[in-house]
Amino acid sequence: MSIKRKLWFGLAVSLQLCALAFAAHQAVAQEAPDAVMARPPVDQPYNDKTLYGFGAGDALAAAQVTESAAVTHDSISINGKTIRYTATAGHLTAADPKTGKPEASIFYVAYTADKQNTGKRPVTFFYNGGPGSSSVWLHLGSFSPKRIVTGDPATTQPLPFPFVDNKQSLIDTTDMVFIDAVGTGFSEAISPNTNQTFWGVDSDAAVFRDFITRYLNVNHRLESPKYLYGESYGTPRTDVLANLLEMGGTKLTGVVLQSAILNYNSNADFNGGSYGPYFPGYAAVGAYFKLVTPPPANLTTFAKQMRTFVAGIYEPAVDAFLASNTQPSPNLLNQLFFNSGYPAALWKADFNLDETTFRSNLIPGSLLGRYDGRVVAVNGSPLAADGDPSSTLITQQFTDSMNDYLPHGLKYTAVSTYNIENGDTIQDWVWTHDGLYLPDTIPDLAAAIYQNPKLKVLSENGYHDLATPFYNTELDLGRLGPISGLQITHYRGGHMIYLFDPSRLLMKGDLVRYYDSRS
Amino acid sequence: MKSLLTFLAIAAVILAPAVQAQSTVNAATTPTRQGMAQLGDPYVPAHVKAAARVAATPAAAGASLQERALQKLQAKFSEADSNHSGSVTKAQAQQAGFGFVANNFEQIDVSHAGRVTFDNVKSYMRANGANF
Repeated sequence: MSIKRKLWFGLAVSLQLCALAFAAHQAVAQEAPDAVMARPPVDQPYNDKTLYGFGAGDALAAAQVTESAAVTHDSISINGKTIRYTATAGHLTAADPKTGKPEASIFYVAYTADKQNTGKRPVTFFYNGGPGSSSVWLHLGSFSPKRIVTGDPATTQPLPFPFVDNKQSLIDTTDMVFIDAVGTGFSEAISPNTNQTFWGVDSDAAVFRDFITRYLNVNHRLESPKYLYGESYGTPRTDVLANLLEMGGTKLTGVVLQSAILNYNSNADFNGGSYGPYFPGYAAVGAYFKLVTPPPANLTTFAKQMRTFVAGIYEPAVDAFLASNTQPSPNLLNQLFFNSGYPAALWKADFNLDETTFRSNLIPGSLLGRYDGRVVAVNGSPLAADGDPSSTLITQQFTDSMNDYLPHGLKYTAVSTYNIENGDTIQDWVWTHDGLYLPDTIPDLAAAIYQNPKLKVLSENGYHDLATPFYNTELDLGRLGPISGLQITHYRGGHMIYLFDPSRLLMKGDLVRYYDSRS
Repeated sequence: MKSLLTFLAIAAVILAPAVQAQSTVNAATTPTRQGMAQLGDPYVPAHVKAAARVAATPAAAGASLQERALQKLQAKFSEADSNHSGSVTKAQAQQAGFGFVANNFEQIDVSHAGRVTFDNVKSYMRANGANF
């Protein structure tokens, strides 16, 4: 270790000892006889002096690893009820279950309601996907006690986006732990592993299993109902992870799959083939822009009709086209136009229509969002610059909010900058799983359910999501056959359904019922 | 050194257009996935997609979904069966991290043999409502 590193290390240890002493003082103070009114608990800020590396070959030395955290206390009023909660932001070490050897230092932010019966109070582990994404989107956009107001799908919300108390927070129903995958947030591998060790379908799920195991043990949550909540790549992660947890003896109560892609082989964006399963999403987006003939009165009914149309008419025609170049009839091209608003001539030009071409041409001169097809930006405008206006709309604001919230809200100050997205991860990721080049995680979910038939599975879908289209997910889940624990919900909105205010409200209601339901 | 730099400069010029994926059909500018590589969750790099297409293994076509799911549990069972006896003791299950078997061992071991076969494990799962 260099002199400089020794000095930093020495400083880190001293600060840690001070923090421990302070925490001990607090514990002693709280054991004193009750006053007439209990003193509110004092926040314990943490200053993290560790320099984190997010490159493929980076790793922390064992001596740099701590399980320190910043602890803050707050309260929120939801539906007239005041809930006091504790926010904990820090690291826990994921260790190999067989050897006990440290694998990675995982950064997390946990929100736990105070004075709860841990035998009954659920704990839910949240994570986004990428792979290579931190959990910032779910953390600051969905069901934490605080959230960012984006105005989605409008693009006119003034900057900076407000950061407010979240009246749809799930803190009234479950404790929440937002996990940052290795190479994101402040999570890093521990030597002799490197970050790249955990950049693969199987190794990533395994280290998540090991972090969750550590969290449950350290926080005495082994008896609590346990849930997983993943978004996007977080959903195939959930399938693999759920099976690993069940095999390892950790029984889950439920898994929530939001905006799922459970089988990369059935999605034309990744494995080629038919874009048929995307069509109901195109239709929903067309309907949103009032381009569908006749204009549907009810989105749920319309979606049903579109599934039937794809299954019975469009999909067989695409299959014939792909197999033997069978050209679509003029009648079918007109039907496609009526159902989506996308011109018949353009359907003829791209009969197996990919989402990028659809998004580029539905509204002439403009580009639609991939995450949320309702977000529209004029070609050449800043919002259109990176190919997905719905993503560009929110990325900088989420980044700025996190960089502010960490030190000022969570009282976690760091030398390193929180890594929102890791661009190296996706390039180095090992995709092979169960002998396939791209992961099909439906068998993993099936294996988890075989071990735990009472597992509650909830699939949440945005109608206007063109990244993980809802009909594609339904077809994947359909392979499971009838399983009693499966529930599928749909909402107006895109990939990050919760950014749309009316849908976040509906999701909250459905989720509370889901948590309360018996397995 | 100078010739290396020249080579790299030429290579960059030649390779740059290849990196941009363009649709040939529409008049409007097609956005490239490269620009949003970091943000395009879910996203798969082009070389991985190409390899997958070459391999072209149909999903769950050979073995059924049920077979593939059970195969995963069988693999874990085999891992625990360190002496290849065809059966597993509670200690062996624990050693291998097969907590599902270790934690439910007494119920799986219906004949009180002190060891369980994979068939015992399957029977136990079915008895608890597993649908296979």
